[in-house]
Amino acid sequence: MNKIITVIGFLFSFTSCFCQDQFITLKNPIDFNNKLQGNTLQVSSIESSFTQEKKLSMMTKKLISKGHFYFKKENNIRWEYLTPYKYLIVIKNDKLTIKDNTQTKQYDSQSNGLFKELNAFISGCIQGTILKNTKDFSISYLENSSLYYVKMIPKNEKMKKMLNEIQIYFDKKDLTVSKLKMLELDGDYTLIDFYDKKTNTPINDEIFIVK
Amino acid sequence: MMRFLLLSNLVLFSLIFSSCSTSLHGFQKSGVSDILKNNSQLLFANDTTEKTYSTHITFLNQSLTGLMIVKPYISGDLRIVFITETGIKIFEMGIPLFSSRQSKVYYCIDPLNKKVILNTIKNDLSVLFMVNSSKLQLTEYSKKTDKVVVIHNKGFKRSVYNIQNNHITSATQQGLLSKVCVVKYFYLKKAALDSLQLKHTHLKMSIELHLIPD
Repeated sequence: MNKIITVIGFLFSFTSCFCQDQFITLKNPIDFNNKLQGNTLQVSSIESSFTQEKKLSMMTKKLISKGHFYFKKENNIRWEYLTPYKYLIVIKNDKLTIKDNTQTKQYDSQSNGLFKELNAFISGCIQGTILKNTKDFSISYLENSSLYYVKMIPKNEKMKKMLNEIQIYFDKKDLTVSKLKMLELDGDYTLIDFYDKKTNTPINDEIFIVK
Repeated sequence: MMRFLLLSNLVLFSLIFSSCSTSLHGFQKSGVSDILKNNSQLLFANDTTEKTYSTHITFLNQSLTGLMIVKPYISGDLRIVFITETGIKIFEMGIPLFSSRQSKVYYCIDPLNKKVILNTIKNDLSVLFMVNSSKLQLTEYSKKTDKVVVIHNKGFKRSVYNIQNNHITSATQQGLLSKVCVVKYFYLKKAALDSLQLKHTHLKMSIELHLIPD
């Protein structure tokens, strides 16, 4: 009898834990957007480590890469993969620089359509300004006890061919992006998890110069 | 006039013959090869776990880097996905070991989704990974522990693989008149395949892959 009670107790506790993490529709998305906008104005810099997880249906394991990320207002971004490969993307004053194992290449993100979109997407996700783009995305808002979860379904035909859905998770404590998940049409996905986040700490401008 | 025609034909034949000839000095023809029958994935030594390669593709003056994930199946078929370092999928295709089944493109981003480009990619990956060949058209030549396996591809193309101690060391794909591409294989401590390098001879195109250890 005691065993049955223990098992039932365990199941209940498990269910209640699960329910706590369940996302429900956010009642007031305008309020959230206003809070996010206010936060964006206050944040001058973000520094964070990240883990990128790539799930491919054909793979038994997930492909994990780790790196570091810096953002400094207005539009300075350093996105760097450190392991298991080295790869660096730097955006500074509308110039996009990519450095891999073999070479460093610079693009004018304003004159190149693709990089202009990429630039807008990266900085939009970081600052939350992407949520204003209702022309290209159908946006729905959810929340649980610790996170705001924004689900974005592409409307744009070009993007629809690549992605099924974009999920952005904002930490309720500081309204910074906690997770970013990009789901492809066949169920494969890329999940980026941000941790050790620091906001408004001084970041040297040299960080955004590719040597 | 007749003499000129004969001479030009002779030149053409010798050109074709010399371009397609394989350096087989000292090798004995050992008949139809069953190398893939016994060891369907010679390159991966029948290890079916997926492998991730840091990849660098150059075409004319353009270059593209990313990660190529190769999943070998026990049947010898391969599933290959190419993604950017940031996780964006560029293409995904399945290449069967034997040409009786068609290669399949599961996904390809719009700018690359053109027949000519896809056929070049499929051909290069087939040569690189020794797949998409007909079992019946595999001829083997041997000299002590060294082997040369000739795979007759579609049309006039054929791929020639040099094998030493059961490891493929290099390959050449030859067309009717000249070499199409040359491949070099590099192994880590003579065991696991570490890197591959394919260079086209007439096209300014190359593919380099370096294994990312687990």
